[in-house]
Parts: sequence; C-alpha cells; structure tokens
Amino acid sequence: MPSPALTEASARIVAEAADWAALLDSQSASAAQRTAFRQWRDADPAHRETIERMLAFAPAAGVSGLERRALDRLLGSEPKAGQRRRMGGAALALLLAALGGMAGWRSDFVQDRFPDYQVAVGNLRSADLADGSTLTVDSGSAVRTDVTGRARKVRLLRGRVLAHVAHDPARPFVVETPDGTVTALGTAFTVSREQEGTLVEVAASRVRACAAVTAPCRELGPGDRALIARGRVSPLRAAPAAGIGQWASGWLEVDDQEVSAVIDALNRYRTVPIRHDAAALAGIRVTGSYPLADQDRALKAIGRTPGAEIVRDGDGAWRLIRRSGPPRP
Amino acid sequence: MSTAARDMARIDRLYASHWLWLRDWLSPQTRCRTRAEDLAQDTFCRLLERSPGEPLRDARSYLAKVARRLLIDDVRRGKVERAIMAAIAEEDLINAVTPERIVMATQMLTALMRVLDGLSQPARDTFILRRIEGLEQHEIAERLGISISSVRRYTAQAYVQCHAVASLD
Repeated sequence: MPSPALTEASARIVAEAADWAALLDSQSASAAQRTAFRQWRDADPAHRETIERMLAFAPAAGVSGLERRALDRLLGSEPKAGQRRRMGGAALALLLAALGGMAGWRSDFVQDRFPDYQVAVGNLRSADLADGSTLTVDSGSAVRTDVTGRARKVRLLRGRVLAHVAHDPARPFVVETPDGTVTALGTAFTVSREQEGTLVEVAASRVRACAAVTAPCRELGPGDRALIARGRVSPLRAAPAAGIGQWASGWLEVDDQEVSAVIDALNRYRTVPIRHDAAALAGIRVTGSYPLADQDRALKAIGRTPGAEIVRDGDGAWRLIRRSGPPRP
Repeated sequence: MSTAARDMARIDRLYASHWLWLRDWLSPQTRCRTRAEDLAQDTFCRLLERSPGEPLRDARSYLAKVARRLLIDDVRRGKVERAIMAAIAEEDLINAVTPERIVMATQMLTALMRVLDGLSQPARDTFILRRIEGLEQHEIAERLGISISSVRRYTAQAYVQCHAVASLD
C-alpha cells in the first residue's frame, strides 16, 4: 500500500508530538514540562500542525449522544468504566491551555468537515432543533448543533445564523465561533462570521457575548450589536431591533442606506458577486425591499437607483457604477 | 516522459490487464457483483491518487492488498451504519436526526474505529478508557493493572494512529 510517504523527519515529529500529547493528557505534567512543550511546539510550524491535527482527531470530551449509543453497540463487551462520565475537565483544560489561544473553540478536524446543516450560496434554510429552538442558517453557512446535552451548543463553522431560542434556563444555549461565545439569556439573536471577527446582533431579550481567550464578557440587549475579535468584545452602533435577523425572512429591507452596503448584503447570496467601488458610489442611498431568492429582481431594482447604473463587465459579471450623465427620466 | 505520465501509463496497463481479475477476486468476498465492481474501481482510483512510485513487481498481490484494505473499510463502514441505525431506531430518534447528522456520525465513528483497529489490544483498551469513558491515566493504570508509564506509552501509540488516520483522506 503506498502509504503517504512519511519522511524520516516527519515520522520523528509525529512520534514526538504523540509523546507530548500523552504527557499533557495526564494531570501530572509539571509547569516546567508545559513550558518545554510550548518551546517544542513553537520551534517549528510543523510541530504545531502535527499536534493540532492529532489532538483534533481524538474525541474531545468523551463521545456522547447518537455516536455514543452507536459506539456502545460497536464495542460490545470491551472495557467500560464502571460509572460513565465526561472526560476530566482539568485534563482537557490543561490540554487547551497548553495549545494556547484556543480555549472555547477546539479545532475539530474530522467533525467540522461534516456539519449538521450546510447551506449553499443563494439559499436559506430553517432548522427546527430537538429542544424546540429554531435556527435560520444563511446562504453559504455551515453549523454543527448539539442540543441533547447539558448545554445546547451551536458551532458556527462559517456564515451567519439567526437563533430563536426555546426557553430552558437549566441548559444554556451557546453559539460558538473561534472568536468567542454568545450565550442566550433570552430569545432571538444573530451571529455572523465576518472577516474582522464575529458579529453579534440582538433582536429580542438579552445575550452574553464572551471573547475566547481572556473571556471578558458583555451583556447585550435588543438592538445592540458587538464585534468579538482578538480577545475583545467591542460594542458597535446599535440598530433598530426589528430589523435584526430580517434576512431570515428572505427579504433584504433597506431604509435609506448606502448602495454599496446593500450590494455587500446581496452579494452574500450570489456565487458571482456584483462588483462595485464603494468610494465611487459614496452618497448614493437606496430604500427598498429586495428578494434574496430572486437575485435578478433584486439586481433590476438596484439598477433603478437614481445616480447609479448596472453594467456588464467583459467576463459577464455585473458591476454597479455611478451614472455620469443626468438621471434618466 | 514525466514521472506523472509514466505513472498514468503504468496504471493504465494495470487496469487493462487486471481489472477483470480483481473484480472476480472481490466478488465472492462481497457477495454482490456490483459492490465488487465498485471496489475494484475504487482500488484503481486509490492508485491514481497515490501512485506507488516504483514499478510493481507483483501487480496482483499489490492490487489485492489495496483492495483488501478498501474491503475492510467498507465492512467497517457498514457495521457503523447498522449500529447508528439501530441506535436511532431504539431511541426513536428518526424524526430528530437529520441525514447530515447520520453522515457525520458515520464518518466520525468510522474514523474512530479505524484508529481503534490499528492499535494493539492494551493500547486499544487504554484509548477507549481514556477518550471514550473519560478515565484519568492513573485510574486506567489501576484498572488495567499496568504502570502509569505504560498507560502513557499506549496513549502515545494511539495519538500516532490518530495522526495517521487524520492524514489518510
């Protein structure tokens, strides 16, 4: 079998990484050993890559839910702990701390490749979760959900979701991204992975937004918006609560906004984005309702904006430009 | 001729001269001709993805080796799927579980079983107790009657296997 030709060097790195992983997997690693591990990890990007892949693959906090039940059947008579429990929190925390900067979000190499809900660009999907909550998953998004355990968890792998949370004070409802966590204290909010970080917007009731690394949290109320990025939760300008999560209805409602911001919003639903130059279009404002599922109609409507014009580039993509002449009657 | 082109030509020849043989070799093992054809096809796909790099001395035993591994994976996946379906049926989860969720669980457990199947019995026991049952290393040592350093050695072996399986596809 032509196994991936492991060079001697990478086989050695794998062996070293495995020794470190086994050591850190116990509670007995000393401070000096942890320091030595960090030095080893930072000495070579291949070291970090190898151990992260290795750790991400091993089931993190025990195996639970459906997988657990199926696994019990598969393993049959193999050794079982007398009393079933979750993996020791201390050991796991230690592992995460050792990796650094990953608390809260564990890269989960295998499972993240198989999201529970994956929505193609141009579509929207509404999902009823087992706990009675609903998630609207936006165009181009992927999430994993686990609402069967003690905490209800939604892992936002990419894109944007609107969560309508069923009331259950005993089991917090948490949306996770690598930037941080958003915990529902009430009902409806959106979480969105943007280039700058994770954007949180609250439509109703309250949520607690926490950054991943140092965990300073901030409570947000209706209309509040905040960006979680680089270990901080920064408040943004508030918006009318009624408009938050509006996209989930399949319509983009615009009330006197910059046209380039509207195009950015529409482009989320397009495989071939509408091109535009925000600086050149600055000052052109629009008001209207644009159907997200009917991009042709949305495009036509945008093209009727006074002062702007839709043209086609040589490669067939649409571009919105400032109209040079006087507006057509 | 480039290396890639040489590889292609070699696999082409292998295909022409051994495909039928491979299918017939697989047929009794799968008890299904279509399945055997699929697996034979997969074997050659695997060759295209990861060319052996050097001319084959014994093409048939090599093909059989690749095919056998795929066959084992196929059986393993089937077992996992049946276990998941049984769990769903028993818990009456059929309406609560999305098809994506089933695919995910299948992939996850197949990968997990692949790790377990590549381990020696003590390493396997250690891995199950640590990673699935959540015992601490000293508790595993006590339970299996081995030293902590053995537990750590077996744990390291399991991590090596995790890395190998994670790097497979």
